[in-house]
Amino acid sequence: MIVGIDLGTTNSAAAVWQDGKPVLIPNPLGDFLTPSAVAVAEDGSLLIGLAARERMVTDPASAKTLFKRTMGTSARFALGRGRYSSEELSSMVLRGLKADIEAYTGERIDRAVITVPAYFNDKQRKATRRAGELAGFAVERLVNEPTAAALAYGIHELDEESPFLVFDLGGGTFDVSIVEIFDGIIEVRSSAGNNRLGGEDFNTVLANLALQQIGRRDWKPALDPRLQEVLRAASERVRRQLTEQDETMFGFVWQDERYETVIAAAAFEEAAGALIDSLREPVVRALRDGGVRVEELSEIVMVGGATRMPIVRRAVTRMFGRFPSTNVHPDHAVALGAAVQGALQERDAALKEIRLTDVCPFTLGVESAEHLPGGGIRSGLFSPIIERNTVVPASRVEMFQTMRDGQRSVELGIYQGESRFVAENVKLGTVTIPVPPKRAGEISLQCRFSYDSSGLLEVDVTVPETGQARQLVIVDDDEQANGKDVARRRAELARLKLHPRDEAANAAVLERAKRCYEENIGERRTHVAALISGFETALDGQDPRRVSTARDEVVRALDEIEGERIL
Amino acid sequence: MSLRDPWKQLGIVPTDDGRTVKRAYARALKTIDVDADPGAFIRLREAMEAALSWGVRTPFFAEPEDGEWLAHPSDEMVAQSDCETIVDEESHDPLDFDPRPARMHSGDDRLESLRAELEQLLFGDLPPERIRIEAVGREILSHPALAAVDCLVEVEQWLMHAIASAMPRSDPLIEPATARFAWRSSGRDWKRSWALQHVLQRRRDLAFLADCDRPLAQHRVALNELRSPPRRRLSLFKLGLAGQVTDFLRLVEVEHPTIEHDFDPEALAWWRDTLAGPRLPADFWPAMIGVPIALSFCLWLLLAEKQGGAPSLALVYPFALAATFMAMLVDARLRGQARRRALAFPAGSRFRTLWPFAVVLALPPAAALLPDGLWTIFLATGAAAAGALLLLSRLWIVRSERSDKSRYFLPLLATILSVAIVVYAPPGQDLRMIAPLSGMCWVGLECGATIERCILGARKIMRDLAVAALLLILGTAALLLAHGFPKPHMPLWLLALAPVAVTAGQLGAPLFVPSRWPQLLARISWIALVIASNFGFAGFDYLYLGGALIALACAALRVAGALRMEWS
Repeated sequence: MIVGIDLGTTNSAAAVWQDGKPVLIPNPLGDFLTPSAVAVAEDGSLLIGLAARERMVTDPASAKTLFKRTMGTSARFALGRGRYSSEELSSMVLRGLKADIEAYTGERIDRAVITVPAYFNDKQRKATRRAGELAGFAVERLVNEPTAAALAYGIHELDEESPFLVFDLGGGTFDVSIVEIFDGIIEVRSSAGNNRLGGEDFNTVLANLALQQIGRRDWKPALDPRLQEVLRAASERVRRQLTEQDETMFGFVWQDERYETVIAAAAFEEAAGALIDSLREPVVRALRDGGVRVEELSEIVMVGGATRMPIVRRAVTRMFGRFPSTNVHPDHAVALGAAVQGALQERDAALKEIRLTDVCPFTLGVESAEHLPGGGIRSGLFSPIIERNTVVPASRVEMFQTMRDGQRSVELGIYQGESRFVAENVKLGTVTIPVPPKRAGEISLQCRFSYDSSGLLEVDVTVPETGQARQLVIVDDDEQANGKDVARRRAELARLKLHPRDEAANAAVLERAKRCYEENIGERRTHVAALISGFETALDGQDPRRVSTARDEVVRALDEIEGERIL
Repeated sequence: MSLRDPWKQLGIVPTDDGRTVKRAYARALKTIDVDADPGAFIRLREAMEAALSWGVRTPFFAEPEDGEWLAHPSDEMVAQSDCETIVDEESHDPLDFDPRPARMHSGDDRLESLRAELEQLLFGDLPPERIRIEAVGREILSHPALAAVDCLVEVEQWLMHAIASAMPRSDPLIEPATARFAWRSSGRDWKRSWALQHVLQRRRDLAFLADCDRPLAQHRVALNELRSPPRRRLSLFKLGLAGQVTDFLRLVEVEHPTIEHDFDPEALAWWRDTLAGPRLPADFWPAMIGVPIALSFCLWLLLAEKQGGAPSLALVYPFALAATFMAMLVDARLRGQARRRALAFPAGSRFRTLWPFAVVLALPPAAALLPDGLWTIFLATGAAAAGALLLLSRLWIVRSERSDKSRYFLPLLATILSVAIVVYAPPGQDLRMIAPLSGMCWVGLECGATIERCILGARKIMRDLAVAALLLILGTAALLLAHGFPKPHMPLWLLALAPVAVTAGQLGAPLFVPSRWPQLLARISWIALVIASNFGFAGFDYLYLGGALIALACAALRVAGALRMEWS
């Protein structure tokens, strides 16, 4: 069975294809969403999900969230005793999800389809694939998140003839795709996005606004991880409350002092104006690349938790002159779509008449130079070979000539990006090929780019004059991801034991109570302390029934103090 | 694109119905396994796209879709051709395009009236009103209807084309529009349209223009010249201006093409015409003063040695003056002819500084003209042929600027000639000293460009080696100088220092970013060189030494500058 996994910035989810439809997998707490958070408990075991996220506030040194934002970089984070990269942390989340799926289906699961933001670059995709491998999955396919959402939406709307737009604003990334369905073909016409824009940026705006209102602009949350987490948790809560209310209380405890300020929705909207404005450019580009007019769109499909924000919905309504669709669940669509893709991959009978084609959302090309009229040479220019929004798999050839007399070799830098200058694009690798020394321009090179549906790029360079050829499969320069290395790292990570599944609910409640203790002062704090010690006594008793009653009581009490639990 | 018939591949008869094409594509797609056979999918996809573009989107079958307003296919092709490796930059003259962008209807009356007013202001015959244009533009940009993506894109496209077509009237609109539509970030996109390219170019050019307008700015004189009404003639004392205008125009053409909108059209036409015709070199006056003096002095010395008595300077100087003037006239004619044949003229400054060296090279024939046996006749013929070749080759070099054979050929000829002179000339002849000197000068100057490109194009290790070689040459020269100085008679090899300095300077030049310093240093070094070479062999040891020292110092400075650039 191939499962579909939505590995998100803030939350992750998994789904499987069962009885002709995708089904979401609940985690031990009974939720479909598992926060993408990892923590190391005192006994050295790994906490995944909600318990780990609650720990972010009480003990940021032992927990980590938002690691998807640094995916594909060499940044490493201290967590407990070890230091881990983003892909390793992601693999821990995937391991947690894998355990959930296996518990739900009762089968061993080792094949998965994982979603990535459409605008993830080659490095970030490779890192995601490695994370899947580290978690023990064979990653059958990486699917773009808006494409997955389109699949989840599209298999119910197969008769729809006009294109629709998927607006995917997640926790950390923003993607827009134009999708068209005809005769059972779900075709992505174009994708555009910004992989540094998401709900977390709105949290930052909100936190800054609150700091400004309480007159503490001198505090620099970016320099203090604990303060940052405290503010982030408060912002997240306020942001969700603003979905229903016009104003709400922004309250947090910092250094045993409680700060409170009232945030009005209008003030938030004004402060977030720049972020809202930056949503427009990818939309315009996707429409332009797809050759679609706004009035031709049949539907605006909103995906991603951040699209629940009224200010985003209002901006979208203004942008398109109509209300967005509410047919799909913004948090579940991507995972469901990934499960559909998994079933497609397995050639499930129910999906026999359905095909999906996706696009390569960014441009791939080589570095080139040109002669200036004055006689000089301008180098560092970007020559596209596979243009963005080309349907994949794709294969394109371009010819290049030598620039100088007597040139003996040509070095082709392979780049990805949209800028005219390679310096502003992402470098993927280089190919060097010798050429016979001749006059400038007399030697031509044939450069073929092949891009497959999983996003793997292959570069072939040949010199027709000599018949010499060079081939380059783009693998990461810094990490030789050979099988042995992956196996070694997997073994290392496997040594970290997951926190027992049946205790996950208790751990989550306990961590939540601890966070609540930190976030309150005075009488409430004493109250929470009493709750914690009561619950711990129940846990020590090891009587499952007593534990579950005590847990329910604590949850009820905590809900009274801080409102409902949020994901 | 595959050459196979797309219709056959899709299994349908040619049609202009997009729906049929897509249905056939869908049917074929379901029969192939994309993951197992990507080639089959790529072929099918290409067939489908070809069928759509030949059958459905071309006017042969049907009218073009009016839905093409979002992306102009021709614009994309223009933008794309810029990125080709070898293709020279094409100029996209906005005037080839219909200057008035197509009218569109956003449905909002106020926006429509503002749009009409702005078009009237930009394209009408009334005198331009900057303030009014800016006010109307800002009102359009802040119009609430722009919140809708449709309207925004429409206004963006329209405004982009309007600004690009109405330069320089549309200048006040550039900044607000760039800020509103975030053109700066999307403008780096290689896929941007010509209009956006033009607007962003204009934005950069305006900054450059403001920079040029500062007092003491390098191009201020040339800019003012092109902005004011045209002259009637260029006087002999304004020859330098021609050089400045040439440099400025070249810069504008390559880097800031939209600035031409700001010039007085008549002045621009006049200057283009004047610069294209024959004219005297820009450093006519310095050359007329410096060269005859040097030439007559050398002649005077040589004549004194050969004929046993000094002739009257009053006789020699007018001769030298006349010879220089004639040579310059010939040069101006040749260059004018080359320009009239619409041949690209290579970077100018190097060719202007060639003058003194041509004179240095002309010394051997001058000496050989005097009756002094068979060898001198041989030398005279050879040297005169070399001189004639040099003059002719000026034209040749200009013509074949792109092919570099002449650049290899000339220094080679000069070097062979110098070697011949050194080998065959009787010992004690002054020629022996001049010949290698001039040969080296030629090598240094003529090979400069070739060496330059070799160094710049070389790998890091080769560049490091070149730098090391430079250091070695300079170090040896300094050592020689330090050793040679106290000796009563200037040893012969000390004379090699001057050409060494020139060569080193030339080698160092390409590593140096272009600025005013290297040019200044090059000028100082050639003056020093002329002094050194002319006075050195006549026995004026200290003059020679001083000249050589200065030339060497200049070369060292240039190399030092280059090193600083290299390692910073």
